[in-house]
Amino acid sequence: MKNTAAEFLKRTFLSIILTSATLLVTSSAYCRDLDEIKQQGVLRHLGVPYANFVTGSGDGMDVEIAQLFAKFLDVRYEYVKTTWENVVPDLIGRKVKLDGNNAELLDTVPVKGDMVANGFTVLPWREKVLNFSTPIFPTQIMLVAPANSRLKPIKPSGDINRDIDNVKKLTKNRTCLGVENTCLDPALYNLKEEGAKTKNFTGALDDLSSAVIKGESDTAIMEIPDALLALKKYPGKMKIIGPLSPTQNMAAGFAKDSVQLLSEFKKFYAQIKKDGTYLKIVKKYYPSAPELYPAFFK
Amino acid sequence: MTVYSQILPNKPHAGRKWGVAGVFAVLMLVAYLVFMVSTSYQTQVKLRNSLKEQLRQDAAKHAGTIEHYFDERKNDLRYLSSAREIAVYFENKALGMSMEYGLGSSLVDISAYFKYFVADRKAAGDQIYTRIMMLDNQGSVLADTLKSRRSKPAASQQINPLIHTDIKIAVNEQRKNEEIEISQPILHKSKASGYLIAYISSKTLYEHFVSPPLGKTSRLHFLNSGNLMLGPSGKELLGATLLSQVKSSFLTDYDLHQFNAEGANEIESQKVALSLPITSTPFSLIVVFPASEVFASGSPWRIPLALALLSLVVVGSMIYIIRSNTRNLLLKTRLEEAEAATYAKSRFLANMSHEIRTPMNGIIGMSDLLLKTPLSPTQRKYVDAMHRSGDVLLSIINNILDLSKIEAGRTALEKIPFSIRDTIKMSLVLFTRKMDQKGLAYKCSISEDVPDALLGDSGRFAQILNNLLGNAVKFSDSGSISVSVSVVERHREEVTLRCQVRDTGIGIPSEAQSEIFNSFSQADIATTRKYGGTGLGLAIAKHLTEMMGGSIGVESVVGKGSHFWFTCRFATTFAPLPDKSLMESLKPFALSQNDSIRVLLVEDNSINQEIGIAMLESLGCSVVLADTGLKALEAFDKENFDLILMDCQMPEMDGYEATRNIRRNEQKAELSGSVRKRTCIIALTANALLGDREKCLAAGMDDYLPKPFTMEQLHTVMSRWLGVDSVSAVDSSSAPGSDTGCSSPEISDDGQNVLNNLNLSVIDQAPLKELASLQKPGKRDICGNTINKYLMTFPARMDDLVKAVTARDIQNMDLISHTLKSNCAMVGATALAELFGQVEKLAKNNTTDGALELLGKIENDFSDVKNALSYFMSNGLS
Repeated sequence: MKNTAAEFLKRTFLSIILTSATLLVTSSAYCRDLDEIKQQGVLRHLGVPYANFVTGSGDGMDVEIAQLFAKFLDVRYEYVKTTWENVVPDLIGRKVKLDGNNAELLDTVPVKGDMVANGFTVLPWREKVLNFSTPIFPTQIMLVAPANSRLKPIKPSGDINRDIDNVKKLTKNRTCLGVENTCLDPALYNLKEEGAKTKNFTGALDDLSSAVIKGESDTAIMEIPDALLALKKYPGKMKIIGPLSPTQNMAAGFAKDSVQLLSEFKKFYAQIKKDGTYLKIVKKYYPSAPELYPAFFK
Repeated sequence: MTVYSQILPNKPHAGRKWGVAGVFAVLMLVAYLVFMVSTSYQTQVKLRNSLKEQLRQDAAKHAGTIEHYFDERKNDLRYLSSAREIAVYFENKALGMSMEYGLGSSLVDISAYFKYFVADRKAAGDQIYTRIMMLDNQGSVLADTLKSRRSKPAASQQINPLIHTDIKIAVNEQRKNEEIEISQPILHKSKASGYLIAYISSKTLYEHFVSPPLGKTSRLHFLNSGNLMLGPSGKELLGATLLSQVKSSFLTDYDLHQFNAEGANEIESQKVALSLPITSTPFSLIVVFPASEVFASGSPWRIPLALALLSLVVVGSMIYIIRSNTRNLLLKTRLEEAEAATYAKSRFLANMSHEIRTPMNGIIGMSDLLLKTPLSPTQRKYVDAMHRSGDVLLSIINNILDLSKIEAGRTALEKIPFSIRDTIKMSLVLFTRKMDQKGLAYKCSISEDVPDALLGDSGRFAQILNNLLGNAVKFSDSGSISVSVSVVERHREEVTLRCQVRDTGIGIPSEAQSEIFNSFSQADIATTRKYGGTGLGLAIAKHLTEMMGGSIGVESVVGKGSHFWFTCRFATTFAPLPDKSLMESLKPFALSQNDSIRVLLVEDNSINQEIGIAMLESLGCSVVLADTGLKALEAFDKENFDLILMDCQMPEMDGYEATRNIRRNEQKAELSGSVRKRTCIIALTANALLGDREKCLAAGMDDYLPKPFTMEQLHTVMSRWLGVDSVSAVDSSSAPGSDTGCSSPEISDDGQNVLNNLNLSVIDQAPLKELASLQKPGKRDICGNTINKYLMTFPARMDDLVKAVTARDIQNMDLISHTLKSNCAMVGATALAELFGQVEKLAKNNTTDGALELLGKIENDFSDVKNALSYFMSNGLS
C-alpha cells in the first residue's frame, strides 16, 4: 500500500511538474508585446469558431487576416483555440466579471494569445479591459425567430432606435436565446427588462440558428453576418424580426499592454485595405457585405 | 484559177444536189437548234429555280440558327428564374422580412448571381448579355447587374411587365445597345412575383449568329423587326439606303425580291433580297445578295441565245468546211486523175520509146555495118544520112525514155563514193575531140576547197554536165568553152557545188531563157532546124539538179554566148575512191588504130559466150574465153589483157571472187616490181539493180554492163575505159555477112502457110537481128549457133530447174532460172525470159511456192518459142 501511495504521489507530482512546464511554454503570466513576439518568432491568434470569421476548418476571414499579420511581422502564425467565455481572459491574463457595460478583473490566468479576431464585436465592457483595432467588419444584433413564429418582422420606420424599441417589445413574454459574456448576451440589450424570458445558449454559436429553427426558443439573438448565413442555409425556416442594436463594428482585440503590437496591426490593416487585399478577403467570405454595408466598405 | 477551171468543169447538177441536201441539212440543224435552245432555256430556268431554292434553304438554315439562339436565351431566363437566390428572396419576403433587415441581403446575392451569369454566358469569347435585371410586380428594379443598389428605372425605361405572363422577346429601339430584351415572369408558389429582364448584346448576336457565314461575303444579312434593322458594321451607307429599299420591296416572306440598290456603294447595284421570319421572335432575317448569284447569266434566254449563235457559227463553219473539203476533194481527185494521166503518158512514152528503140538499134546497126562495106559515094552519102538520122532519133528516144522515167518517179539516184575531179575530167574527155575539131579553146578550173571525195550519183552529175558541155560545143563555132566548179555552201557533212559552163556560142534570147528548161523547148524554131535536138536535155538536167537538191539556170546574151550553171548537193565522204591512177593508166592504155584489143571474156553461159565473142570480134577485139572464174585466173596469169568482161554469176568461182583474186595478183605483182598494168574489169550482170554496181566496184571491178547488152552499150563502155573512139576505130573493114540463116527471108507461098500456123510474136526479133548484124563473112553463123545452143541446152537446163524446185534447192533454182532468163532474152523469147525472171524472184525470196506452176507455163510456151526460132532459122528474120 505504501508503495502504491508513494507511487501515486510520485506520479501526481510529476504530472504537476509537466503541466506547469507546458503552461510555461504555451502561456505566460503576462501579455507579450511586439518585441517579445518577434523575439520568440510566433504570433498567437485566439479564435472561437464563429460564422465565416473562424470557420473551425482552419480558415475564415479573421484567420486569413491574422495569418497575413504574422507574415507582416515576419513571425510564425499560431492559432489558439478558445471559447467565448475564455477568449478575453486568455488574451489579457485575468478573469473578467461582467456587470452590464462594466467589467471587473478577477484572478490572474495564463495569457494564451496575443490577439483576438473572430467576429469580435466592439462592446463597451470589452473596451475597458482590452484595446480594439480599427473596425474590420460591420455587424448588428438581430432578433430572429423560426419561420412559423407568430412574430412578424417589423416594418422599418427609418429610425433605428424606434425599430430597436419595437423589436424589444416583441420579446415580452417570449423566450429569447442568447450567449452570455458575448455580444449576444441578452443582458446587453436589457431584454429581461422588456419582459423577455432569456435563455443562455451553451452550444457553439454556429449551432444557434439550428436551435432557433428547432424551436428551442421563441426568439434568439444573432449577429447579422451569422443570421444572413443562416437564412441562406435554411431558406424559409427562419426570419429576422428586426434589430436589437444599431450597427456595430467588429475589430481585433489586443491586451492593454500590447501597444506596439496594436500599432503594428493598424499599420498592417491600413496597408491591406489600401492594396485591396482586405476587400478581396471580405468578398471571399461575405460576398454581399460590401453591398449591404457600402458606407463601411467605401 | 486556170488550172482549177481546167480541172473542174462546171457541173450545174452538182449545185442542185447540194441545194436539196443543204436545205434538208439546214432544216435538220434548225430543228436541232430550236430543240437545243429550248432545252437550254428550260435548264436555265430549272437551274435558276434550284439556285433560288438553295438560297432559301441557306437562309432558312441561318434563320434556324438564330431561332435556336433565341431559344437558348429563353432557356437561360427560365433557368435564372428558378435560381436558388431568387427563391430565397421570395421565401424571406413571404416571411415578412424587410429589405433593411435581411431581405436586402438576398437581393445582393441575386445581383451577384446575375453578374456571374452575364460574365459566364459567352459566344466565341463575346458576352451574350449586356444586362440582367429583376423587377417586382410594380416594375421596381430589385436586382440589376449594372447597379449595386435597388432603384426604380427611369420613366423612359419603365418596363411594364404586367403585359405578359410568358417569356417574351421585345425590341426597344430607344435603348442603345439594349435593343433586344427578353423578359421572363418569376413565379413563386405559382404566383407571378416579379420579372427577369435580360438584354442581349446586339453586336454578339449579329457577328456570331446573323452575319453571313465565311465564304458568303458578298451577302448582307439583316435582322429586322419593325424599325430595328441590325446590319453589318461599316455598311451604314449601304444599310441606310438599302433599308428603305429592302423594306419597301418586301411584300411576302420567302419570296425573292430583286431591286436596284441605288446609292449603294457597291460595284454591283442589282440586288436580290429574301426575308425569312424567325419563329417565336419579332424578327425576320433579311438576306441581301448580288443578283449575279442567282441570275449569273442575266436573262435565262441569254445562254440559250449565246448557244444558238455559237451553234450557228459552228454550223456555218461546218458548211463552209464541208463545201471547201468537197471542192478540195474534187480538186484532189482531178489532180490525181491528171497525175495518173501524166503517169500513164510517161509509161506509154517509156514503153513506146523502148519499142521504137529496138528497131532503131537494128537500123543504126545495119547502117553502121553497111558503112563498113565498100559503097559508092552516093550510097555512102545516103547510108551516112540514114545512120546519122538513126543516131538522132535514138538520142531523142533515149531522152524521152529518161525524162519519162524521171517524171514517173522511177528514177532513183545512186549514192556511192566518187571523185568529182575525175568525173569532170571524164566529161571533158568525151568532148575534147569535137572541141578540137571546131577549134574551140577549153579550160577547166575547180576550186581548191571543192572536196574531191563525194557521195552521190556521179553518173547523173556527169549527165547534166555532159548535156551542158554538149550544148556549148554544139552552139559554139569559135571562141572557148570553160568549166568551173566552186563550193556554194558547206554544212556539216554536206556540200553544195556550183558548176558553170561558159561558151561563146550563139546565145539565147532573154525571152527564151525561161522556157528552155521546159520539156520540148528550144530557143526558137530556127535553132531546132539548124542544130537539131529534142529540147529534152535541159529539162532532164533541170529534173536531175532538183533531185540532187540543187537548181539550174542560164545567163546569156545573143551573139556573145551563154553561161549555164547548176548546183548540186552531195555528201562528203572519207570512203576510198577508185584509184586515181586509173585515169592516168587509161591514157597509155588507149590503143592506136592499128593495135588489137585483147579481151578476156569470162562467161559460163554458152549462148552469152557466142554473143559476146561475136560482138567483141565485131569490134575488132581478139577474144580469149574462160567459162569459169578459175579458168579466168589461169588465163590472166598467162597473158596480159586490155580488158576483162566478167560475168558475175558463175559456178565454182563467181565473177566477184575471180575479180578479187585478179586484183590481189596485180598487187602482188606490183609489190614484186613487175611492170604489169592494172587491167580494167567490166562486170556483166543480169541484175541491173541498185546495189549491184556497188557490189561490183567493191569487188574491184571498174564498171558494169547490164545483160542483155547491145553492141552499142558494149562499145560505149569499152570506149570509156580504153579511150575515146579507140574501140570503134578498130577493124573498120569488118562487115556482116549476108549468108546467115537469120538474114532477111524471102518468104515462099508454102512458107506463108507455115507462117500462118506459127506464133512468131513470141520472139522479139531485135536481139536476133543484132546477133545477125554481128555476122562476119566466112565466119560461123552467130545467130544460128546461138539459137541452136539455146534449143539444145534448154530442155536439160529446164529439167535441172524442175529438180531444183522440187528439191527446194534454192541456190540452184536461183542460178538456173537466172541463166535461162538470160538465154531467153538473148534469143528474143522475152515472155519466157519474164517467166524465168519470176522464178528467179521466188528464189531470191527463198521460196518455191508457185514455181512449178510457172515452170508448167514455160513448158507450154516453149514449144511456140521453139517453133518460131526454128522458123527463123530456116527462113530468116522478118
